[in-house]
Amino acid sequence: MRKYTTVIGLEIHAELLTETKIFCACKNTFGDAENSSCCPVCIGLPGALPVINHRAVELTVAAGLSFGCEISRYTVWDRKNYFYPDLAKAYQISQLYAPLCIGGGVTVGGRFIRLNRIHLEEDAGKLIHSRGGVKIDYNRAGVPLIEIVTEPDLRSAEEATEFVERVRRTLVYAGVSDGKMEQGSLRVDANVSVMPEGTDVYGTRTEIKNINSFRFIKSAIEFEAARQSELIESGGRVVQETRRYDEASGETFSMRSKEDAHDYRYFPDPDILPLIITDADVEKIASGLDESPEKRLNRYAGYGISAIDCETVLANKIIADFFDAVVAGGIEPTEAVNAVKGELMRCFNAAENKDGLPVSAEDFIKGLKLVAEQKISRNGFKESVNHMFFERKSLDAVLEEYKLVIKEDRGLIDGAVAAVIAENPKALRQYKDGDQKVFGYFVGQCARLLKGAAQMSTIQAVLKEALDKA
Amino acid sequence: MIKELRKKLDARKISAEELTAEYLKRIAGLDKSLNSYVSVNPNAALAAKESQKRIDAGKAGMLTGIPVALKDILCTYDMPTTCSSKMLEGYTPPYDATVVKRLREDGAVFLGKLNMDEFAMGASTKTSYFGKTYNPYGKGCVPGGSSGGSGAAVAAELCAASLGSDTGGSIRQPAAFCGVTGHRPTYGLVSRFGGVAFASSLDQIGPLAESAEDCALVLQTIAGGDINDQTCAGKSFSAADVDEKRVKGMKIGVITELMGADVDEEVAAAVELAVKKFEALGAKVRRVSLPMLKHAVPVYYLISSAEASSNLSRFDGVRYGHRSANEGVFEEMISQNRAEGFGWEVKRRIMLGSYALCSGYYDDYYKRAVKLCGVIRAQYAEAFKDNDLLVSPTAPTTAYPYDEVPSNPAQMYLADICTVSAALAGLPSVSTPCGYSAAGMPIGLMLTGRRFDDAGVLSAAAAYERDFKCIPPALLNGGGL
Repeated sequence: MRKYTTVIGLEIHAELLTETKIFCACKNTFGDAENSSCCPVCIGLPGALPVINHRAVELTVAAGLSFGCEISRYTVWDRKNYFYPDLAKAYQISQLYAPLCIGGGVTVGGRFIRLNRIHLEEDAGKLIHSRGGVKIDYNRAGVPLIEIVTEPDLRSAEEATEFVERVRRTLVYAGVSDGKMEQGSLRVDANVSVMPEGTDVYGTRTEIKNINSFRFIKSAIEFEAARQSELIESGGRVVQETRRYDEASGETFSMRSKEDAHDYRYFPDPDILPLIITDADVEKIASGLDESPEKRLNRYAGYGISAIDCETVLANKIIADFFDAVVAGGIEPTEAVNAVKGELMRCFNAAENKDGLPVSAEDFIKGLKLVAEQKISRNGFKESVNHMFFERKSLDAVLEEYKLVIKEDRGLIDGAVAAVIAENPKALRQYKDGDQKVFGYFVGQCARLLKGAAQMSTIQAVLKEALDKA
Repeated sequence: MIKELRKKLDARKISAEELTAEYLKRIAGLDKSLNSYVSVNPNAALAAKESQKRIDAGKAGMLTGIPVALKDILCTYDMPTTCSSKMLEGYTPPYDATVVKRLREDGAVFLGKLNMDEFAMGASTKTSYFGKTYNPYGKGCVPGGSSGGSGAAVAAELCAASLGSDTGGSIRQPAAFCGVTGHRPTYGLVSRFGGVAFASSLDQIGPLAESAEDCALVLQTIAGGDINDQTCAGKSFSAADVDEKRVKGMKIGVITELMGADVDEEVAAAVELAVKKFEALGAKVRRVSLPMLKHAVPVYYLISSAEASSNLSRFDGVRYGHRSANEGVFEEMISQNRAEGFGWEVKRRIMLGSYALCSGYYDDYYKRAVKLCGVIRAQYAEAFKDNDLLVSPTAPTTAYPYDEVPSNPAQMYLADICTVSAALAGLPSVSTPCGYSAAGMPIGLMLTGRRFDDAGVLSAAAAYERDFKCIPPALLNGGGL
């Protein structure tokens, strides 16, 4: 069998993090009771009219700026007409003729993957299939959605997966989307074709619709590429069609062929006025943008943090923001990264809710400083982070409750030092003969006896004094 | 009429309840044969009582206690809104259209919902699922359309004023056919929110009434910005800006293309007489040529049908509206619902519009029509450099008997030649009675102005109406329909 190169172009749909829907004042939330966030506009009742949510436009521009797109100064919305039960108006308000963002791209593994466009549109409702029939939940209808369309630049399933992860991360960092594939706020359509290795003529493509996890992106594309190359090898021809990925079997199945494809009868939506975006608008959005993950990566590298640690911290914006706060609070970056990776992420990874951190950076910094001042032990710090995280208490509260602050009793220390010296006459002689190495041994013995009731520096000072006198 | 009623109500010569009861009685008597109402408001008496309380409290607005009626295309939360279609039979929206809300807030009393061509597609009410409305001037004639019920109800004094909607002439042509005044506001002056959309870029809601003054009083209440409609410009309208004296020195252009051979001699003659009257009132009259108007009808039908094909897609009978007895999978079910729920004219326009938007035909039809629409607008803009108003007949003929409604749709559409171009250009345009044919049917004079100069066109119409002698409809003289 000849070897084939896989050619992939993606369409990534991301729901925007707006308070309200794109064309009405209904709340944009996930997980509410069915059909509780609906109005005449988003369920398309007769006479209702859309009014554009400018925040959705701003977030789309923010996405465009994050990917280096050109921002259109004049943009219009078009109607995409088709009948489907989840689409109440029987048309989706989208952008065909003048999308908000044009061009741009993302570098993945050293290769620049070009974007064709990013446009802003409305999401449809959700069909809920049950034994009793199909129900429709319109809470999602009218949720603002961007569609990020790439050029056919991706060449493998791994690369496509990494690309989506890069895009997801950038969107989350820009505050554009929460990027949660498991909740459907990020969904991927993959256009896949194959061509014999060494050639440069694209084969016929198929489109795999609505892939909803990173794992499935890889397996769906791999299956589809293998299916196509085997088909060609066995003398068949790939048919242009839309396919569905079946998660259970790991295979793709034909949904509809090109002949059955909709004619969407796009035309400019007369209900929505064209939008003019000025240079000042773009500058304002750009100045409000959070630092991109790429820029953060460079900054972290400058701290002397290893590449692996950088990726670990950057993988989740909540963690990265926490790390930045800890560094800003005066903790050395290398120390901060160890503490965040160790104490904090150990708890975070075990937590069910990953939408936020129950520990404040202030408490975390304070704890690290107490360790440096030897007022609590490293183990005591680890323990206190654990308590703060899972019991949602402040540092002061857990230090008090679990008695984690070291309290020194001079008499106790003196007694311990005297006992250790008395028990080790041989070592004392060595010390007196000028063997400084045994000092460490004495310190260790005292610490063992005191079980954390004294700071190292205190033990060292008292011991030194006692040894010199002995 | 509204000002007189206002005076009577405020002077307690009549109560709001009495006034409403009087109109309801007239409706019960006359509308059996006229059929201008699709539904009468069962709560009208109650609303009148509330309005009377406001009058008694000294908090009456201009329309408080005034009985008005609404074209059945305007959403009302307490009355069905059917668009005169089987598709929406029995459908009551959960909300009021902005214009309805504003009338309610001013204390107007709704008598009911008025008949129309199905989804506003037609010029005679012949396409209504709820039966045709007759012209109060009789002879088995059409009242015009699509706001035929709105025109007929005002002419037969079955309401003090009404609201209609005008996409390509649907306020002005029935006003002309029924001998009343009807004003199509500048596109963007009145909110479209809650008016069931036919062609979004052309639809405007406006008043039909006994006079230009009454139209202005209703318009003042319904006009103004609306956060629910982006295409609403946020400009208000004051009836106080309507000033008959403005006619003096006004430059009025008579559109030569709309005074040609296609226009009935009687109609053209009445308009020429009206033009002389304007000269007598101190206006400067000249002839203007707008050659691009010859394209207005096809341009209008392509754009309006294209938008309609999309706007009417939501009527699938799934969540509301007509549900066929024949069950089936989704596509079959909605096909059945739509096949049974829509009448032929609506289906024709949906097919025409879908065709115009199809890939492969889009550039030839829809896109070309939009370009030509731009040319028509530009030609109007040019004409308004030298003219304050443009004058023409509202329709080439007077109302015709139902049995003479052309069966060829293309021929029927051509009768819209006078009204569609002002709609395409988004201009304010009023129709006022200017004479009667030998057969006694009213003739309409159409005055079109600059964008947002609604006060200008209504001023000229009011000045003209001052000495115009209206002949009451046959129905009111005990005549038959």
